[in-house]
Amino acid sequence: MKMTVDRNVTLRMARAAQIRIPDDQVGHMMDSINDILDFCALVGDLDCAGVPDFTWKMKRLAPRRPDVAHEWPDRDEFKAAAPTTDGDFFRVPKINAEE
Amino acid sequence: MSYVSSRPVVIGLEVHIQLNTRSKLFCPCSTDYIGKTPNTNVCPICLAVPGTLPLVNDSAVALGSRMGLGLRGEIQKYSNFHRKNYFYPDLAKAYQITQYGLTITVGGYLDIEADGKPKRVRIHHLHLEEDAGKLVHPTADGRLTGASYSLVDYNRGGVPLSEIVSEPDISSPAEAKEYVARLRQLARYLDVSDGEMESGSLRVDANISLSNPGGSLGTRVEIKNMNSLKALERALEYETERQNKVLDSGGRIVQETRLWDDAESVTRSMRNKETASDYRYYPEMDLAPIVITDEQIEEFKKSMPELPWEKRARFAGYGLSKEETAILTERKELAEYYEAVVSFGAPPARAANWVRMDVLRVLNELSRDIREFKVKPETLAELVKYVEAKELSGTVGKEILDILAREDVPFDEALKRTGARTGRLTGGALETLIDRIMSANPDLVEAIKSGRDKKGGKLKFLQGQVMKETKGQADPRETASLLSEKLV
Amino acid sequence: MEIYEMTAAETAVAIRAREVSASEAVRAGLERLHKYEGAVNACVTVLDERAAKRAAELDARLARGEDIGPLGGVPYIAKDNFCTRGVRTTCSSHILENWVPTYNATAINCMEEAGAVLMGKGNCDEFAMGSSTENSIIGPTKNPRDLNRVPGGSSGGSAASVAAGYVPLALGSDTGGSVRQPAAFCGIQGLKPSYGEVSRYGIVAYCSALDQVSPFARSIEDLAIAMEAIARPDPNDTTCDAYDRPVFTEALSMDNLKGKRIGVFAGFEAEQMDADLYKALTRAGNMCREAGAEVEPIDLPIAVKYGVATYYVTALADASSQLGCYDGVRYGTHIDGPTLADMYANTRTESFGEEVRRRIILGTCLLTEGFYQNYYGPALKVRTRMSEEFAELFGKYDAYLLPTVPSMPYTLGAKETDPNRMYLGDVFTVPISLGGLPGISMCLGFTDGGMPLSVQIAGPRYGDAKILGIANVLERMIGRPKPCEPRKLGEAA
Repeated sequence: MKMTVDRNVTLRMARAAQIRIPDDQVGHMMDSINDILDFCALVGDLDCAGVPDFTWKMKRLAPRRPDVAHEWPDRDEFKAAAPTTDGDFFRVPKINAEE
Repeated sequence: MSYVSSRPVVIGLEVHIQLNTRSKLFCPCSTDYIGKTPNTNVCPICLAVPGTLPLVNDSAVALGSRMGLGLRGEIQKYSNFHRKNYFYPDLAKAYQITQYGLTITVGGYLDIEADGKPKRVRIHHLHLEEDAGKLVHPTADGRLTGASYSLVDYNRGGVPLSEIVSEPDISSPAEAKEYVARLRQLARYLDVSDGEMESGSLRVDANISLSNPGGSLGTRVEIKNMNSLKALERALEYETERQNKVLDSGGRIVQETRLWDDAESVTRSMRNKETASDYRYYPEMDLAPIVITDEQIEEFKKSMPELPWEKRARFAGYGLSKEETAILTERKELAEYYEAVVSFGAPPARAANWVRMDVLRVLNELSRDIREFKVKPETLAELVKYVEAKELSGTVGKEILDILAREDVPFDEALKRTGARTGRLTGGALETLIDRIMSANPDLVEAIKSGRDKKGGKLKFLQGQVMKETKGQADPRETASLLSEKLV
Repeated sequence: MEIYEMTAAETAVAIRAREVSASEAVRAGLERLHKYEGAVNACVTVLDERAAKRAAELDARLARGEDIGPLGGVPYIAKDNFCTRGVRTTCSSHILENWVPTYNATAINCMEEAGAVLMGKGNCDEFAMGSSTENSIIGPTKNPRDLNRVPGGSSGGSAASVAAGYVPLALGSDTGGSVRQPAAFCGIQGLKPSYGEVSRYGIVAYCSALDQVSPFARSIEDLAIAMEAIARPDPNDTTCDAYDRPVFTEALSMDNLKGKRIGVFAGFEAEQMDADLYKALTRAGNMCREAGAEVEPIDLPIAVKYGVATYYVTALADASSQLGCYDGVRYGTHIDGPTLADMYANTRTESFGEEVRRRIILGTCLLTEGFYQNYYGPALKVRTRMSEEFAELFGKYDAYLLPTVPSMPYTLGAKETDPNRMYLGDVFTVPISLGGLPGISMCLGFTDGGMPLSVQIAGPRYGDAKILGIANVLERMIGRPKPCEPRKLGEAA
């Protein structure tokens, strides 16, 4: 079934994606989403009654990882790559504990 | 007295159990994260470094299957993972890898007994998922730099959990508590998890609603943050009462998530958290499916230990009461200890008393686990036998147990320290002692003989002296009869 | 013959025979690069010193009589979404512009083991999202065959490097055509292997369900040699099949197509696509017949009709999830804000390019409750139907010829705005991706105007060696493409 989005849904999607859309571009984004939704509604047209979800078939499955613990050798590389740290922690803006 | 709901209560529980693996669910970092320096128990995979891919831990699959089998669920020969997408700083990838739809086991049930009534709680499914990291919220008056920031520690991120989702079959807070207690017991019997709620190895989310008149389901409220069995029960009691009051006053229940505040004993609405419909699920294509063969399923089944209810049924053969059995079988290790004591010749009923009362008392005093108990079952069996044969008094026996549990000394040494010796004092030897004590207390003897001991306190004192002198080795009945003969 | 004109196989042979040193081969590549890079703009990072040093090491090993591997001393370029230890890996994005991985992608390790020398990191569309290599922090890469045009994408930098003769071999990643389409646009050979053939570990993902490490070269033999280096099981990627790979170069011994059954796509009318490309497909069919194959026209109704829509749903959804990790917390660009939501939005809005932001929002929508049931869910089932259609096809045919692209490379900056035409650009490459099939785009010569002609050869899943063999027979008949002197066609004419 073909679906569409309005401005509010467009903004809700952007919020869920943690991306800001400037006011003057909301309409453009909404149109862009609706174009895709319009075109892609095609996937609902093919009769797939009783058809299972797709998964990759493999010739030989790799064995699962054995349960062996080992420490990553360089503990400092992560801190070095982090944009904002505080002591041993990564730092983010204050979050209300109950949020 | 707990609150009595005027409407039927419907509860379903989601119990997260941390699996006893050595490494995390998708990477080789250790699961032993408690107390480690922040962000040292991490690697590129659990920090979501670009380009890395998850690798499923084989033991997590085995333990999840085992728990599912313990719940009499069915292992799915083919299951897979999904991504649950949402943003939060404790979730490095911005999605949690979890199972959804095709889970490792489906169905099953757990039989419990609450308020003396048996109850079967059906299990919807068991699935595997990874834990999130932890957020630390420094207070404004705490650290200078911390005040306007929150801090993230990913040490726990990726630790394997199995989530057990029950059907909404639970109809009281007491049942809920009992269900979780039995689930925890099962997890411990299966060596699947330590099941400690305080350390977060076992976490419970509860869905609770009150049925409408006519039987249709009411609006469901999710309760989180209950860190003990007691808290679970109290939170659900509070919520039952709250919902009843809202409905009684003509209000409506809002579908929401509420947090239990243990200090204030209330549930509080959570603000701003995304609701379930905002999570975006879709299949995880970075992982091959989990395929479990018939042979593996057979292996899992064969490796199942005796389960709690099987042990309880078997313990009935020892002639124990239901209550005794429940206490002795609560922990597999305690039950095994008890059975070892019996196997070394201690009479089952006596041994049950000792283990249930004295062993647990000593462990409690020492804050130790039965696995750390120093007194070997054969030693306790020996002790029980001496007492049973009246070679030692119960008091001395307990004293010896206390010494053995605290110090690394041989039985004989402990015995010597109590000043007692094995073999009871009787007949002529006892008589001699009584004579000596009587002659040491002429006033009392005189008073008793002349009938000035109406309340029997003086006689009791003399008896006490005998027991004290003999370190309890005298038979109380023999002592009493000898004394009364001599004091006529 | 100049060193830069040699294939990887020829270069490696010359180095082993001590006719050319590894240092000379690398120097020749770097010289060529510096000569044209100002015009082509194919590389985000050029590793002059590092490559020279490594070449010298290989020369020293060779001097000691050691085996330096089948690609010993051969320079190559890897798309800038391959993690390279100590070398910044940007994915052409501001969000990773200063990110230096501490580990190598498995494919990079495989190439190193085979003796190849990493000479630079190829430009691409930001996070591999695009088909023109214009959306990049370093600006657009230009097509060496005509500098007025795009090289295709998203692996356009790698393709242009091979076409311009910087290197004989390059690695890209192909999700829905990101290697085959630029190969077609730049007039070289490109292979997207079967899904599961090559490890994806260390490739910064766009779409886990479809991404595949894919080589570019100027000969089919080089593609086969590259596959021998990179196609192997990997304990770090469970979607990489654990089966024993065939010896890909053995497939090249075939010198005709006798006994082969080949289907040729007959689902389009001539006017539905570029006339020269339409003719090229017919010609490729005729060549197969000449080489002894039984050739029949066939159609793939489900794959062609539903492929692009299915692909968009699959790839956009995955992209939205895959790019969630760029939250400004652990690595990459961080732009602060008073609240968590502000920090997230600042970081992600300002550090992702417009197209990436658009795709993330679209993908988020497709995975949201309600939309999922009408889009992602059905797409998963359509893929099953498509793979059934392919299974039936490859029960009857050894390979399937179809166009790689329906049109010639477009001019730079000519952004396609008509969505239907935009989708048409992917119509031949995405079904192959969705089926997990191997696909080779090979150069079939050039138009009178000098623009490359191409055809795509698809095979059954894990039939990579099979289609390499067939492509090699065709390449012998028409010759392999040569590196070009980058130029603007209009001006030359």
